[in-house]
Amino acid sequence: MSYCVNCGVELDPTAKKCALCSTPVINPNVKSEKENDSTPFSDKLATPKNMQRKFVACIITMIMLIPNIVLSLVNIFFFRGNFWSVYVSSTSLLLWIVFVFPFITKKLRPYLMWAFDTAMGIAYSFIIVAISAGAAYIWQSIASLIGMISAASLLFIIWVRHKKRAVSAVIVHLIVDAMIISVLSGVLTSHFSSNANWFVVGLICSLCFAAFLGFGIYCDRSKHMRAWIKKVFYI
Amino acid sequence: MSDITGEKKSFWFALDNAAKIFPGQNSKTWSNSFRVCYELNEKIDPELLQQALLEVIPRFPCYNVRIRHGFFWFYLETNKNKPVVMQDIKNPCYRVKFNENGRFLFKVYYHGSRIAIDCYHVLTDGCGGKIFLSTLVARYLELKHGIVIPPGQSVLDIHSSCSAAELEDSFVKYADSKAKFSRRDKFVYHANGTKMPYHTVNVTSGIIPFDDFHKLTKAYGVTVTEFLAALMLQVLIEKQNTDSKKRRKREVSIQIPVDLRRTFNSQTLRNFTICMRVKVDPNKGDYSFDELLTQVKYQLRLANDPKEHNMMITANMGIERNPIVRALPLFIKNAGVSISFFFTAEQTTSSLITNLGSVDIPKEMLPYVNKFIFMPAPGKLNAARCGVATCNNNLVITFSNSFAESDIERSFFVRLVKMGLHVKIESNRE
Repeated sequence: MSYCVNCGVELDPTAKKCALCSTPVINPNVKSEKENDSTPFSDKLATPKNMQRKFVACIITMIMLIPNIVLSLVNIFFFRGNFWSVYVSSTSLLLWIVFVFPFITKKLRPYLMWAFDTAMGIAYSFIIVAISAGAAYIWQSIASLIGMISAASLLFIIWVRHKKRAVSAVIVHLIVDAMIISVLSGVLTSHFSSNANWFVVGLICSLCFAAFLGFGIYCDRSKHMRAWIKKVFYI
Repeated sequence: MSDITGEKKSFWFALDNAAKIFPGQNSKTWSNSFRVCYELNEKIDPELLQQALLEVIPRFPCYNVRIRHGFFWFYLETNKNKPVVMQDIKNPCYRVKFNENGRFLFKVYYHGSRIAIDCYHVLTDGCGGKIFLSTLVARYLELKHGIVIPPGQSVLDIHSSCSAAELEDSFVKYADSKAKFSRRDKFVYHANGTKMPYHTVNVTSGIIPFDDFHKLTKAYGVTVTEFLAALMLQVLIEKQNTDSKKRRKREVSIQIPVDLRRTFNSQTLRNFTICMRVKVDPNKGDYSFDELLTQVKYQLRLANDPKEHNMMITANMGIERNPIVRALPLFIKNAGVSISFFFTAEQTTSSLITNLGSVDIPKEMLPYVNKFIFMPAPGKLNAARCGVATCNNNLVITFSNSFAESDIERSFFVRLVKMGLHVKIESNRE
């Protein structure tokens, strides 16, 4: 029978330290694994089983594939006006490459993903603009936008992989990226379309991100806000 | 409800009023459940326990169920699977997933000399869990020792069939008050701490001789629940004073579930409790322990009135009976419950104390039973929630804490030690 000298409570004979104040027990009656049943609580921690990622990817692929096949057949045999089903197919392929493909690979390969996503993004925009016969400035704006996002993503991947970063630093980095991309895309679009309004739109977006960043920095520095966010959002 | 008398016939029934909210609150990491546990004086034989469980479960058709999605509401339906006993886990009240565990909403565990049931609150409350476990343990002891334990008190006759009164939704039956009840309440103080990883919980039990404890509470002229609530209030007020440097303090409030079976003379095995709150505003001044006892005593006794209870359950039923709410599809109801729970859950209570009271068992069982443990699920915001039960002169106070720190438990038990009580601590902390 052992007592905690700090709290004055009796401890379980198998306890190695006081559960209330962590004061260690001198010569605890530690049981072997066979005698483990004599402890009041089991050592086995129940944790949820992880769902197989490949299984999830297959299910999603099937769900995406069925409407694509049906729509393609309908486009070929019934409503032959134009290649409208290519919109659906290319959008599905883009979503599949971006969101489902990472589930299939055994190990996450960020540079490979980045290359696939960039190539797919450019191809998708080209198809959409080509089919819809949109204005040249749209293709130029979209291509430059994808180029910028892609470059920013590459820099971000390199930055994150260089050393372990804090979550708050990652969020700040992402918001700053969004600010820069907003302004640059506004500039480029207004240049290609010869319409200054696009620059104003980009600037407004950038200012919104800046305000959000300011709020984030305030939350990060204020102990009160941190506690409030933790409490309300149960992080 | 379909036929409920035929044991082999499948039947379904709607969730009771209290249970309706729990599936919406259920998440991947948290479920509203509780644990009831007997510690016997001998090691458990799992095979006999399994046999006892299979013999006992037909007597409780309202637990032998699985939960199903309807279009407007969830409902419970007879589960054709067989429940299986399992080795105990370190994290009691582990989250419930509806398609696991043979789709049962309770889990029977054994470890050393303990038999425990983790029960999802949709099925029943602590009182129903106590009756189920007591009946299971009685049957287990009969099988193990060849004795006969007569039914009575918390043990039901497994050879009898379940009555309609045991299966009724007592909320529906007794909610008929014309008074209106306002639910508005202030957000109150919550102790801060280091959040434990998901699926882990710190459990700390304090075992106290009930005779000594009863003498102490009698000397103060209060009940066990009132005494413990006042003690918890004192601990939380002092913690707030220590942790917060603000001049203006937040109210401290304790939630206390009250069993309504005695009040309304109900025999139901399903949920039939209502939650009371006792609260104290530290801005009014410093409260001594005696003053806190007086506060708790009068607040609880004033609210502990059948008419008050009826008003509260009628208000709860009012939401369920609202034609607009009834017409909403289940997924919208679930989203509403989930969002409301996300933002306001536990915001109006600092902690919870639930006292199951004295677990009365037939005298034939007493030589084999050491103690009974009752534990609520850990809170999301509530630092340490407390379950209390008494059996065989052992009062067991169990804290389930989702924070790593044990300062509330320590402060609580050390105060009891200073009052001259002998406290034995058992915990799953390493």
